[in-house]
Amino acid sequence: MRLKFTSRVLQLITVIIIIITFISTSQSWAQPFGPHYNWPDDSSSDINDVNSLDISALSSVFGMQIVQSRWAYVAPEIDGDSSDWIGTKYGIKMTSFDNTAERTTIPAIFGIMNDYNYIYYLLQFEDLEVYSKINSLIYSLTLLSSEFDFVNMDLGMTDLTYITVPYNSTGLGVSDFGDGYIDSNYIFNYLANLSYESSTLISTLDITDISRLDSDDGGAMDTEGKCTYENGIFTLELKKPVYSFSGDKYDLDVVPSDIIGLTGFLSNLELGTQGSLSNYWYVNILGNEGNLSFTTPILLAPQPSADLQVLDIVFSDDHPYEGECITISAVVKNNSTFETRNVNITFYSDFNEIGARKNLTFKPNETQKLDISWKAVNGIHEISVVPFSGLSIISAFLSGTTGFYSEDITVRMNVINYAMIVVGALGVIIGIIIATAVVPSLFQRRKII
Amino acid sequence: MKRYPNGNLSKNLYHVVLAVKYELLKHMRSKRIVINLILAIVLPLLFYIIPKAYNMDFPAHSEDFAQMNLGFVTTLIIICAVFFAGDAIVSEFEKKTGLITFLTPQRKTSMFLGKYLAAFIAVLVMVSVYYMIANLEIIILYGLNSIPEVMGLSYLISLLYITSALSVVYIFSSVMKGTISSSLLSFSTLMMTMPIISGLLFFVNVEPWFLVTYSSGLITDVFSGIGTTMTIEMGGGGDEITMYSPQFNIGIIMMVLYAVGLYLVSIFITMRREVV
Repeated sequence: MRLKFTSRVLQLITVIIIIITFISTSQSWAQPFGPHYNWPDDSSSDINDVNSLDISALSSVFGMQIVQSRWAYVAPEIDGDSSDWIGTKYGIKMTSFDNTAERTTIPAIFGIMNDYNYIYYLLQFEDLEVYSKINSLIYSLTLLSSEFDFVNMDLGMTDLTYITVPYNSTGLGVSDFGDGYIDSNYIFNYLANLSYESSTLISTLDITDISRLDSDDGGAMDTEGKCTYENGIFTLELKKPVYSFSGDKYDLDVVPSDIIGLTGFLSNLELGTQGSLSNYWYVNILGNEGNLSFTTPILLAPQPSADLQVLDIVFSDDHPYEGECITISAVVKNNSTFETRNVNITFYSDFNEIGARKNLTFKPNETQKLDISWKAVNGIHEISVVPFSGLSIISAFLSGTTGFYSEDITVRMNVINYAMIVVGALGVIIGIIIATAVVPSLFQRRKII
Repeated sequence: MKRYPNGNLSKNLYHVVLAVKYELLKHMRSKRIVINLILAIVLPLLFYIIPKAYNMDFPAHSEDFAQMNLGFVTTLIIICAVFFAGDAIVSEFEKKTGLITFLTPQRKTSMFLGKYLAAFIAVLVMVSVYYMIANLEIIILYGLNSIPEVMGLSYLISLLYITSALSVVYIFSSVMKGTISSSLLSFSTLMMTMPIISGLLFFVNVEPWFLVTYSSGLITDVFSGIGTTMTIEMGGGGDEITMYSPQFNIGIIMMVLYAVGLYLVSIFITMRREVV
């Protein structure tokens, strides 16, 4: 009777545990392997408080600056902190983590880190999707004024859920930035591409001035450079050497060591004298419509590796046996029209680094095939090649950054060898256990009767 | 009187067979086999039925499906081990049946070996059923040729794990006074305590190679790669967690050590234990 009761208790516990275990693991079906995060899907309560950042009524939102001063969005699946955010820009998902807020995870164009505040420069609104819950917003159109545009908002930027608040470009223009590089002397060569879009047809535009507006100086200051307009794109070229970055030429949180160290994503690097945020480069462009005059800051945001793209991964043997040495080749292209230096290409097996090619130089539009040798480890592995420095595969994976490439490889096991080991182990167990029963009898004297 | 052609050796073996027979008969009568058989059938089926019912995608590769499905075979092994071996030794003391059985000419070691083998056979049947159904699902979903070539290896490792789990259960059965406490302790040790310790050690980047539940990961690791460790950054700032995966040789050795060592210790304790 008691045994029956025990059995039933055990059965009950067993069933409960199975159900709990099953429910807790069932969500892994959709993406059963590899790291994934269960994004909260029950944040409808957050949505109630969402206000869009309504900038459509502004005459010019170009270069609008927002300082985010409070973090409240919770994405506990990442690190359990309350300040994770994810946003998209140019189709690139970006992730940042509060307590690190590494610049490497924030594309340059997205701003700088100032303690735990981020400054966003909304430069291409149609591509920026912000999922936000804004408590209060004070903004100013004067980007270069000493006033900060503070927005106190709880950001819940994610590419997967909630409300999309598109920031449609209704201002006068958008800008994009070209690529540049920093050479060993920190002389910055830069080409800024200013794309112009408008709701009205513009026939011609005259570039009247390329100037540096320095509020401290109280006026504009001409500089050397040229600007062309072709196929709807302004090309602003600031000739070398324009400025040498050596400590006091820029402000904010970017220090020379950072610039040297970060080749992937660099926070805003701003020309100007030390002091306030009010020193920017301007391009004054006057259109023939008369009302198209606008001023844009030239935020020098070099992303020398950003245009590198891994096009393909090739294995010398697609199904090697474990222990075999195979060659993994990555086809990497530099999409930029600029030479990119000091490029590090890192190879990963799953999430472990298995090799790297360092200090490479890519000429404009050059494609290179880069090899490493890898001793195959059994199992199915995701081989990834990341063309960015300072960005781990985990960060690249989480942020959804484009440019890296992954390919699965199945490494076959020598099943017979493994099976023989297991069978041998089973034999040892059975042998020893049976021996405990039969060995004593071998030493027992047989009875005559 | 029955005569044994090879004397004591064959007599002992005969006793072992007798013990196996009657222990299995006991399991049959107590419906444990039926209950566990239902579990062994239902568990793998859930991995097929629920995604179908909710129109969810199955993994792209049969290896992935097998790994996901067979992830629960360790749970089944633990459940079955507790069911079939939880009361194997302790019941003799608790119910005082040892007062009768221990006085028979049958050796205690033969009796306990018989119980152990009976439990092993019973769990083996359940695990075999589980594997059969999992393979059937793979055939249905991915085709006949899609059964992973490491499926047999996984099965063999699961057999090894059965012996380890049984020995763990045996050690509790030999030291505890009651069937309930023995079963619950065995169950919680294999199902919760060891996995929790494993998880905690992960956080301090220590590989729990000495825990048999960790070694049991080999059962499914063969599908995706054995011994691959993965370091994951926890939100940046240098906080990392290393997801270890058991090494094949170490895992096998640990299972053997658990199976043999704990079995011998449990027999040693039982031999010195008084029924009254």
